[in-house]
Amino acid sequence: MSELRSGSSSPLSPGRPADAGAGGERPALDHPSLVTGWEWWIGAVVAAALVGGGILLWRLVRHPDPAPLSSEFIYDVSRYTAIDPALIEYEPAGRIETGLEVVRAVAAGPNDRVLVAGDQAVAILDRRGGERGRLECSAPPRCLAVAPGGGIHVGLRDRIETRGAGGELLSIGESLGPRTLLTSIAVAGGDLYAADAGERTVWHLRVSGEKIGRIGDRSEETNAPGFKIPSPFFDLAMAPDGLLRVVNPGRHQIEAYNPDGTMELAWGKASFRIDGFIGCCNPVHIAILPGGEFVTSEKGAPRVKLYDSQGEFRCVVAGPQQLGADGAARDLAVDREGRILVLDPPTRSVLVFVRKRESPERGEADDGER
Amino acid sequence: MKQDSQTPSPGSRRDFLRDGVRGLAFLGLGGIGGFLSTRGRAGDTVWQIDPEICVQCGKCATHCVRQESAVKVMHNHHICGYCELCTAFFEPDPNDLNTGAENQLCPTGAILRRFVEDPYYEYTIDESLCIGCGKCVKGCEMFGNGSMFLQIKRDLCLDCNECAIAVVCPSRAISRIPAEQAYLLKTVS
Repeated sequence: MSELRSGSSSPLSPGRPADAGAGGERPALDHPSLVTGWEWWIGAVVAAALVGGGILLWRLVRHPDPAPLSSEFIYDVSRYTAIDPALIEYEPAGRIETGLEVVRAVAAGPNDRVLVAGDQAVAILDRRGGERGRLECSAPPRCLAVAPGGGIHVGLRDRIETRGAGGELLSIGESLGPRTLLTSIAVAGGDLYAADAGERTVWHLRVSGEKIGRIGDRSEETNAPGFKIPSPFFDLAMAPDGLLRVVNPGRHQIEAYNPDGTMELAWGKASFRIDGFIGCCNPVHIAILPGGEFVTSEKGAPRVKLYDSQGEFRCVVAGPQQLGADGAARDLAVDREGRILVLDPPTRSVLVFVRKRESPERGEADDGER
Repeated sequence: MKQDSQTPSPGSRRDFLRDGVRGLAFLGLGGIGGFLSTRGRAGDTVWQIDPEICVQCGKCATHCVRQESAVKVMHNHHICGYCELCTAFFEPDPNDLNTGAENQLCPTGAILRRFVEDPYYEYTIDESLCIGCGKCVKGCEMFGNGSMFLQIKRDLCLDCNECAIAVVCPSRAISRIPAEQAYLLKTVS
């Protein structure tokens, strides 16, 4: 282009000296090259752009962006999972970091200790998250329970490790079976109760690990409907009334059993509404407050709720806004002060919830939600 | 004049031929590129969805170049809980747990429910009715075991060089994998 502006060479004859035609000689214009090297490339680029644009336009015309799916093809449960804030009568009171990579179970211990099972150990933490001890296990722990005297029972896949109050290993039980998958343990009256999601039963065991019997297998004699365990979430807890409470997630209910295996009562219903248990198989975890109230945890749409000792819905402890929108299953524990400990696998921490000091009246909002 | 006669003439026949050959070469390259873009194959590979990455956005149902999408729901029965209240089959909060149309989640009725034994039910996909919207997959993933998943059926896929769904897939879940590795199945999460 500078050549064109300066006139030092003819635009029609690139490279020809400017003084070639000096002295009145006529420049050689015969068979001129129509383009310079630069112009040739510019032309090629422009032509390529035009061709590319044309192809794109042709494709857009031939394959227009299709219309999105109509609403009937969209899975939307937001209107069911939204929780009326007036129903939430608990508030966060802290978070305890576990220091574990994978967390699976939580339990409250004596002296305000919080025990968390995960990785291949049990972390013993204080209220502020300070680690007060770590018990290495022979296999990844899946559940745990703390006896009134401080003894710790750790459920591995198919057996139970028993430790003393100081954490010392006392015994490792025999395998309960090749299909066993332990998911929860409770201690009461010197006996152990272990929920086995693989066998779909509850084992009644001595502390030594010796089997006493099975609880909850379908039987008209014991009035037990049989456990429906679609996924590996199968929890139990001993209530102050002496009846073992076992979650039957596929039936969306909590069942009460005598130590001899007789089912006494059950409550709970499947519903996307707040007073029911959502989805195919919930609740996934329970804990029982000192006064006999039940805390339940649901997966899918994470909801932690409170029911009275008769199974009547009372309030919400935390919902997706407090717990996160993920569908993780969150284990529960309660301490002697009635604080609710929620194990949060996504953050590998324990969330602590306490009752709001001035609980709002639920009134009509509660009725409307039901 | 002597000097002029020794200088190659810029407009000579040789230049003309050179420019012409260049132009033909570019045309040829363009033609080859165009041919490859429309007809080419990427060897022994096939398009597949990674079920662990798929977010069931619904574009599989709308963006496949086929009139009937090559993407269908598959069901890994090894993972299924055989639930009575299957959230992939039933609407949220159904009136009743039966096969009434008003209770079914799938708008095209592509999921079949069969009683096995109390309290278990088997769910299978009627591929001819499935449009690959993924609505049931979302219901299964959110509340169930996530045994249902979307996948590209190899017998239906035209194996386009550029998959129209992969271009718009928001999670980049679609890619070519060696044919001997397909199908990618859902595993226990």
